[in-house]
Amino acid sequence: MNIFRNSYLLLRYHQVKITRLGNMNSYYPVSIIATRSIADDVSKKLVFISKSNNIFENLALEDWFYKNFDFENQSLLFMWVNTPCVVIGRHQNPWLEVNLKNLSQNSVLLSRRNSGGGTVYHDQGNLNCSFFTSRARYNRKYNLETICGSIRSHWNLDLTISPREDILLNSYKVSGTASKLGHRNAYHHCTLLVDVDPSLLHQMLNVHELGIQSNSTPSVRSPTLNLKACCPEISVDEVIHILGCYYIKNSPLCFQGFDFVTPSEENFPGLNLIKQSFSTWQWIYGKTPSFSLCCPIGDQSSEIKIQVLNGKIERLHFQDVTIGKQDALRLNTLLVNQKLDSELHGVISNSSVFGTMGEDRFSKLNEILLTLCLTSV
Amino acid sequence: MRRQGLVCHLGLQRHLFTVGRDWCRKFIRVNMASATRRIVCSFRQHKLFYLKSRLQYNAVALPFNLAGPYGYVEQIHPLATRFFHASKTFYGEKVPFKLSDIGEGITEVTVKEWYVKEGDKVAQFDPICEVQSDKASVTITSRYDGLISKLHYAVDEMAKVGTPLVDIEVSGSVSEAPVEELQEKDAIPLGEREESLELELPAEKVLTTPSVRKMASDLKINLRNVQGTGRDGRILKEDMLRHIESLSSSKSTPKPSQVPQQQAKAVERETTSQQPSPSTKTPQIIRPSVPVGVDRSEPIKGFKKAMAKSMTASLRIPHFGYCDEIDMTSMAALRHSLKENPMVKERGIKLSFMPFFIKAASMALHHFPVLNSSVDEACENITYKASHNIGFAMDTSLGLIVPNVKNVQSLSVMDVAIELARLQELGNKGSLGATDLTGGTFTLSNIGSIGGTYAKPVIMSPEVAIGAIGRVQVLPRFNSKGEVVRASIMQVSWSADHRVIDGASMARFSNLWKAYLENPSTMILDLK
Repeated sequence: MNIFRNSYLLLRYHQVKITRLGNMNSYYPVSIIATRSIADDVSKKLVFISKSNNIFENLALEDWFYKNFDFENQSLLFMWVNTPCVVIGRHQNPWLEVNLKNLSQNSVLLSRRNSGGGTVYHDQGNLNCSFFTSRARYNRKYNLETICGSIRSHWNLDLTISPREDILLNSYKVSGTASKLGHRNAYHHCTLLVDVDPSLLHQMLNVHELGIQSNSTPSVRSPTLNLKACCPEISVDEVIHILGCYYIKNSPLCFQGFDFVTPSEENFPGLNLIKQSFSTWQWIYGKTPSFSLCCPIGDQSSEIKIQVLNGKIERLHFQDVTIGKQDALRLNTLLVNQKLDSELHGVISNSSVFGTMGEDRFSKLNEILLTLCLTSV
Repeated sequence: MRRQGLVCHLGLQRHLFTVGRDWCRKFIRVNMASATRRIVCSFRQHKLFYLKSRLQYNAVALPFNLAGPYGYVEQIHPLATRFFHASKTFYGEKVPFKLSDIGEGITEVTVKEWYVKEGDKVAQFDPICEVQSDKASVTITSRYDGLISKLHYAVDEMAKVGTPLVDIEVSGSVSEAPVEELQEKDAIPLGEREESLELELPAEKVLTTPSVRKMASDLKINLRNVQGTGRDGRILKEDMLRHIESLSSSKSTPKPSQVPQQQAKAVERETTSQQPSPSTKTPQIIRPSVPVGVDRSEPIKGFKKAMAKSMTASLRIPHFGYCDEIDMTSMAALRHSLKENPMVKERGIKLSFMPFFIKAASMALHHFPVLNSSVDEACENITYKASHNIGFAMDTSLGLIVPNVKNVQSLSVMDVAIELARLQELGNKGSLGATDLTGGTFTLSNIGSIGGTYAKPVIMSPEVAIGAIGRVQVLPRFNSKGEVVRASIMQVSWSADHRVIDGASMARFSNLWKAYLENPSTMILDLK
């Protein structure tokens, strides 16, 4: 069986340097017996590597594969790397998860993906892997074992899988996982921190408490570590190569080679539409589950409760009588049914409403609103 | 002035009726394609028509608010009153659509977003809602066509798996809920060939009454040749008689004389024209009426259906058999001694012969990888499988299932025993998953645990070999010195696909396996 494996290890595009392949002949540890064989049934295994570094293009391509490919007899590993950006989960609240101010200051993009889970920070040192299969063959554990096995066999790093299905190295998190299941297809994607800038990561995900109450999916924060910290010779390109080889290991006769794909309209008709929908305010901020936050007025004795639905201020609850009717009316006309975006930011900063109502009393409200409106779109 | 109207579905013809002074022309189409009995009633403006109706149709009343200039019900023609009833709109059956199992042992999910609301029309496979369960976001699609009548959960509520998610009013009859696709896939998919193969079912599937069966058996008529005109293709007595008539008209010779008295009159009635007046009198045989049992037919479902499907696929493989006898004396002694061993006792696993058989098979497969391969349907490609996923046949109350132990090549005998115990427990409960049932590359069937010596096992497609192990019997055998000794003898019968495996390979594999089992210490030599 080994002869087949070696003779079929060809790469169509020799853009990735082949380094030592390590001990590929080791037997698998007992812990993965129950999970290995499902994907063995698949007759075709594809590996695609994205040529684009734009988060929206890559997310759109991932969605395109999910909606348009038939994974009945094949499965796909799609790997991609992005310029610095933050990606929040489908049902998450960006105001709760991301420091929007730092985001704009460092010109880091914000996007929302289609699968659930928590918030992640991407940059050029972070590898994203999406494992596409049919709904029946969906198996997260198998995919994570593939990653662990490949890195373990080549660089001897002791990666383990936590009960929450994160990959841990010395009890630090090196990977986050999320998945999407549909009627026919399903995908499981995860990140892998190879060489990410930790200071930027913390800056982006370090949010000041605004007192937001929401039912959105919360992120579970864990201390992270780069793989490079434990193994200096590792790099994203090498991980791509090793992981790709490991993935197609068990189908020697069906090895197609790695494909480098460019997410463009010609190659994937309908891609531009998906990409545009992912870049709109409506998707990134408008899809936030409803939330509310209380803002103290004046000397902390009274509050205004702001209720936000679909990213727009739905209503303001004045939980105190001291706010006069005139003031309440002014606030309502200014704020209610307004989208929380940069436009509203401009309106509030330029408006004299707060001035007329008494700046000291409403200073906190002003501050909070300006923070909320620091959206990137 | 109440602006309510009644519309009657009376069939495809336009039956008109009086609804008062003002009329409206409103052509309502409700489910035209699905039900021929329903639909369409229109009433024309400023005209009076008498109602003509077909009594066999059910009248389904659809109250709707005829707002605007449309009419109102004032007076209905007396004929029509019988066929109307002002009941609420109903489409069809209200079916609760349950939240199906998402997998990974998840019991509760959060409903994150609804894509439909009450009153919306949905088609099969339209997305209904999005649920989330710890990082997995699942899109739930509709199983039926129909109308959403009730949403059981609001956004952000926890929904339990197995409880109804929405109620759908299904238009037309509810088709049988599609069996979990996974189960159907486990049975080897045959696709279109099914229909042609089903014709080979035995004759008792033909629907008839006992008296007709008796008639057929007495007259030696094959029921399959008779055209049935009753419900579901039943063969009625009239059909039998017509068939007999057609037979006798095609043949010139008269009917045989052995005609029972009950049917004699009937036959004579039909064939008097053809049959010449008999010169010899037919002896009247009086047969006492014997109460006949009723045939019972039931559809083949579940495991039986899976077995039927996979067996018909296996039939296309050219099998050849190879049998042998194995002296299990040393193996029995080894097992006996291991049972007392503290290492085995503390692990608490019952060590039967099966883990040894499976491990020995895996070790032998290393030397004969062709037996652990798989051939495609057209027999053009052979795939040598890397992992030895050895299946073993399990007889449960539900039927025959064949779960497999994965990657035996990297498991020790103890690991195999543990895995076997786990699979047996799951099998007895009936909760084996698709993982355990698919992906097998080789099979061993221990029919000897029930009984038997030699067998002719059927290969499970897409594998290429299978072994059936018989009972261990204590028999007299000659040893090397020529003395008669008692030996524990076990028979094994192998079947292999002769398109890719030749007799010599099978024989050598069997010899190797036999050698491992007859002398268990040789297993240590090939330990990996």
